[in-house]
Amino acid sequence: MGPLEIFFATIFAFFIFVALVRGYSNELGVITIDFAALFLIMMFLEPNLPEVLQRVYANLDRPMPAPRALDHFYSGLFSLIFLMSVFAAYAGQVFSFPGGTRRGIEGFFTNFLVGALNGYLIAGSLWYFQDAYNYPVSDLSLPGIPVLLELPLTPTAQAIADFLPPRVVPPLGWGALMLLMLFLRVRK
Amino acid sequence: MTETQRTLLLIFILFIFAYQGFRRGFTAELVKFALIMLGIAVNKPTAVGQIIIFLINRIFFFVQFMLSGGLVPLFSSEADFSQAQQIAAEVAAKGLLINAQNQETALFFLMLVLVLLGYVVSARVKKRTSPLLGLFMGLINGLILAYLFVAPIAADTLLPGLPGTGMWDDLIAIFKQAFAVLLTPVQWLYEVMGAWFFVALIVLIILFAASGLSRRR
Repeated sequence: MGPLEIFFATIFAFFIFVALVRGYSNELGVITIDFAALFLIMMFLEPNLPEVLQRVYANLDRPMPAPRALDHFYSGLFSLIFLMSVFAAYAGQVFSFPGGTRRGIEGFFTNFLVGALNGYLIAGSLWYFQDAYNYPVSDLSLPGIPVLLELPLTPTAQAIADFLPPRVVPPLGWGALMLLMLFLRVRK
Repeated sequence: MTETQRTLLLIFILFIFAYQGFRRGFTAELVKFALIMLGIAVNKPTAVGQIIIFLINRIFFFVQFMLSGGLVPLFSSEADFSQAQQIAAEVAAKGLLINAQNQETALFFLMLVLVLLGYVVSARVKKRTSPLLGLFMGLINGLILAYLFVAPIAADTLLPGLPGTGMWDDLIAIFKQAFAVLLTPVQWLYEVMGAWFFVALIVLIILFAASGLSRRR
């Protein structure tokens, strides 16, 4: 695989195109689900899951798995929960925002902006779930197939990693953003 | 003039143009942009300038030829080409209207006329479309005009120099400068707010998008 930032930039661009096709009223609904998923993960799961696991293993009288195995577990679990939430937002009943949308070039600009935000949240969060657990994906390799990611990251990727969504918004902030979205959704 | 004073002056100039773009809308600013670009192209002898000079000189020649009675021998009952040729030679001997000595001034004057025309025509665009994009377009127009007029007039260099390797290279450099100018306040805000800047940005994007949803169901 090429540099990590190219991979996530592709995901980012993909969601901009999705927003240009679907319109920003639909994408605002997806962003609400993004916020809810990130609030759940960052506020409750990430800080508490290690302790819960320790208690479970202690009660079962079994030794804890190796730290690297736990990295794989946490990264995989959080990515899966987040992706399932995003998938549900697109596949289920669309949680769109009601009302007429902007048209013409202004509509295009708004679609682009909202798509960019959605792309940043999705690509950035998936990247964070790798970065926070020392890139478990770099361990995955099959005979004859190059590894998915080679470390260390490029300087550009290292710079971007400081600005990933869960790094710039505090856990409670996701809840506040979700409440803001719900308020905007139900306002008269 | 210090670096900060120069930046503030530039932002002040751009603010005026951006505000005007916001008031007039995107279409008016696009018309203005097109005429400014045409003006720049005319001012560059390598782009459109030579063609314009050629056309003006030919039109001037033809008018002088006509005023000197050059068409009379051609359209009389007995066409006399030799007399017409003699008149043409006399007119040609007077020289070109735009020659190598005054070419630069003439093209610059033409550019001024086109820039002025851009203002006049854009002011007549009645329909106000997309104030926000008008603001951005006004900002770009302001920067281009700042490069054209303010930078050469200012004693200190107000803006970084352009590559001067061609019109398109210069334009790309202007757009890069426009992006840098746009980013300057963003950098200041980021220095003040830190990571909260991103939270504010997310909230602003959401509020902007939500404000574009009308009550129409």
